[in-house]
Amino acid sequence: MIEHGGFSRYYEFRQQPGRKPDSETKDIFDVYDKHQMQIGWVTEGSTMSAEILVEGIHCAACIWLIENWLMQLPGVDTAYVNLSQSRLSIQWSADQLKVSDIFRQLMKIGYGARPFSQSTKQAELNKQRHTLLKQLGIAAVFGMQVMVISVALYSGDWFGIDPTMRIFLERVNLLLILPVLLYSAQPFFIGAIRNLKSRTAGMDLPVSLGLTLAFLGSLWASLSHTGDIYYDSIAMFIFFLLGARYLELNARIKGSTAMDMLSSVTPEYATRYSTDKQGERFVTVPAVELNIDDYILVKPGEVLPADGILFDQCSTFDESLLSGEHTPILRTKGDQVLSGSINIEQAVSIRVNKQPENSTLSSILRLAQSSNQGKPRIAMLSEIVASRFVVGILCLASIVAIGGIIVGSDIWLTTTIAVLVVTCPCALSLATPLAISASINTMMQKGVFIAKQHALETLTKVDHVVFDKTGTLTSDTPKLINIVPIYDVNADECLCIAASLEQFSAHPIAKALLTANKLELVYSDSSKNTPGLGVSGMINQQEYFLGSYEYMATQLKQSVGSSKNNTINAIPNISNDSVVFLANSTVILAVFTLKESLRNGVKPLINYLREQNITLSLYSGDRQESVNDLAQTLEIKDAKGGCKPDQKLKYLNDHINSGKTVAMIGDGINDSPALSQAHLAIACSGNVNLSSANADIVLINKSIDTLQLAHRFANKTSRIIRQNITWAIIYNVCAVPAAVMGWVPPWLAGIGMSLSSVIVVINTSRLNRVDDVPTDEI
Amino acid sequence: MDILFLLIPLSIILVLIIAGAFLWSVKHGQFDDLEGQGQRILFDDDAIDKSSKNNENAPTNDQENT
Repeated sequence: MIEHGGFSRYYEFRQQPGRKPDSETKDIFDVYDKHQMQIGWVTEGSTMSAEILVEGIHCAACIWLIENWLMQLPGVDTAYVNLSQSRLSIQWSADQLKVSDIFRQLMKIGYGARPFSQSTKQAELNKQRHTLLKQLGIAAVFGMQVMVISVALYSGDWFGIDPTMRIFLERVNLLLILPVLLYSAQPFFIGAIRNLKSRTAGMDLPVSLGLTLAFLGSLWASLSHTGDIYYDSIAMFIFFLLGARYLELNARIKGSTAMDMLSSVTPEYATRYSTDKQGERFVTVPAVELNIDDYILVKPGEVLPADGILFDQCSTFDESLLSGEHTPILRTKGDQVLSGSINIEQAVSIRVNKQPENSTLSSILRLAQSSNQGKPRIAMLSEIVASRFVVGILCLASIVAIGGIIVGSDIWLTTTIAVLVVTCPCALSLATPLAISASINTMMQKGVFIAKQHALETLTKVDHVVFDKTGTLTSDTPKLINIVPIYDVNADECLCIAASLEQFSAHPIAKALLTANKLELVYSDSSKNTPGLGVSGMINQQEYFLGSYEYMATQLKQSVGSSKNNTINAIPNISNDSVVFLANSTVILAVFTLKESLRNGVKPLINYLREQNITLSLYSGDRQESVNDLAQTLEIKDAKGGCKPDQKLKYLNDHINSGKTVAMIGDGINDSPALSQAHLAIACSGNVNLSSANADIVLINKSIDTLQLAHRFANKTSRIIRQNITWAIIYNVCAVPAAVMGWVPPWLAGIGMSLSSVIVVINTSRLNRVDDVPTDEI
Repeated sequence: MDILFLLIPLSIILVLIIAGAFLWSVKHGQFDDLEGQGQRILFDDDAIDKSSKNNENAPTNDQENT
């Protein structure tokens, strides 16, 4: 369809395979046409404008496709996609287009969409980013000017300068430093006041003290025309510190975006059955308005908006969000069904028996959040060093100052300021944020998303890894590995018939058959679905059955016996694989064997982790037999099946309590409590999903082996951080005594400090390349 | 060297203008999407006539920032 619209150039630009469009056009978006659902993201008028969060944007090609596709719609004025925030801003004339049409069009070209409503926390972070960016820019612009004039003053010191000119330049510098000090340096002063109030020794305190002292000293010097001025040092100091903070904040914003995705799973609307003046009918209402004992209709493919009791006969439900297992589960009348699961087979009505906010999904999310708070956070080395260092410097500077006054030295202020400036922990405070954000960016290009900063450091310390099974080590859909035609029939044709029967089903087996099929699908008429057993349908006036052995036994009683021996002999190995039979009205035609397939890169990853002396565990919600099977293939000794979320959490805590640094790799929401408790939470998924929200690292690539790359790269990062810190310490150890002795004039101290920072930056820039990390296995 | 007494105040005015321009651009969302713009230059504007005309005033996502 994309090619139809002249959009084939999309394929030239795209860097990652796109998502498949959902085949059925849904009328669920109609709910967004209602006024009460538009509050906060649609601005009304003759020209409407809306902010929409588009899911699944990953590259430039997506922007191009979305913007141009929407632009060609009648009435659309502007469509603009912000790649960093995955946000679409669109304006159109109200009479030509409805809000729901835009969602439908996005769905048509394969993007999920929902209203863009930022959480308060995120909006706060974005506001902070704007302010910080402004402060940084002001510090840069004015600071640069201060530096220019300072160079003139310094050369004046060497070659002589006209006193009038000197005073003039000093006054200009004073004027220029004021905006930097009063506006850009605000975060430090505010932080320092907060430190004082809470009586803690943070970085802001000494920073502010140094700034104030240096400024007052310079002010006094320029007014009394004695001593030196240090405006340049002040400006540079503020600029570098703000820069480091800006990098840090950006990484935090990325993390919180992932967090926000969590709330997007539960559907925002529900179809409620209601009787009123207009008779009995179904109305679409916001999910939060559901009450206990409401009846709701859930169509196939929809996510259940609330917990309830199944009122209709039966259907199958994909509860993978809650259990992590993708095999649909059959529920019959009167069974409890859970919010967050997906209705697969047929439309059902459900009697709500829990308020949406008390649903199972919500309570799992709450569990995840609460264990998130108790998470062991490994404080960053440099932060500790830097803050202690700073306290030491403060003491040292006051000793120097007091000592200087007692001795009656003329240069006590110069010396004190030199000590404060030369030892400024710039290199220390810069080293870690810079290295971490450089490597976060580089890893992002390789498909590894570092959501939390501590992840890199923690990754290097991990000595035990816990795997989930389905979706992590094995892929969601099984793979067709064998077709055995029983009679003289063509295997490909059998597969085509089977795939045609299953073409409207969302069952994993159907997906596997459809993927494997190479021939063109034929129309299957009057298809009937017996949930949990199989399907039947008419193809070319011939009735066909596809399903389990029990299904065959009930559908064609007389003929099963005769073909049974043939059939059983033909099956290579029934043990753990799923076997599906295809039959016409009389005999079994073919047997399909399906097997769970390993994800790409699992074996190299396991081998690599073993080489690194990292121990492995496998905990899954799946059956014990299939878990054992997989554990045997991968030689993992510690494997447990049938685990509920809280059991996983318990097993994981045992490892943590035995003193190990544990990384947990999982994909379903059932893993999220365990993920939160692990020292390092790694979510792996093709798209951003639930568990990513709690994750420290998200593997975006299909291949799980990118984790190996991440591990190597994390080691490299930590090596470079250590080098940076070592350098900063050596520099300070040499510079401080010299400054204390009064051998270093403040201008030299300023240069030394900047040079030390520059060296840190250059060393860190090595992290922008991944070349020397072996990537051949990926 | 007396010219400096004129030139330096002039440079300060210049700095003020630059700072003002920077603040304006932050406020109007010029720094909101640093990744997308670099890739945008790869698109041909003539792919669809309507888009080339409208892309020039495209950044309209500043409603919530102002």
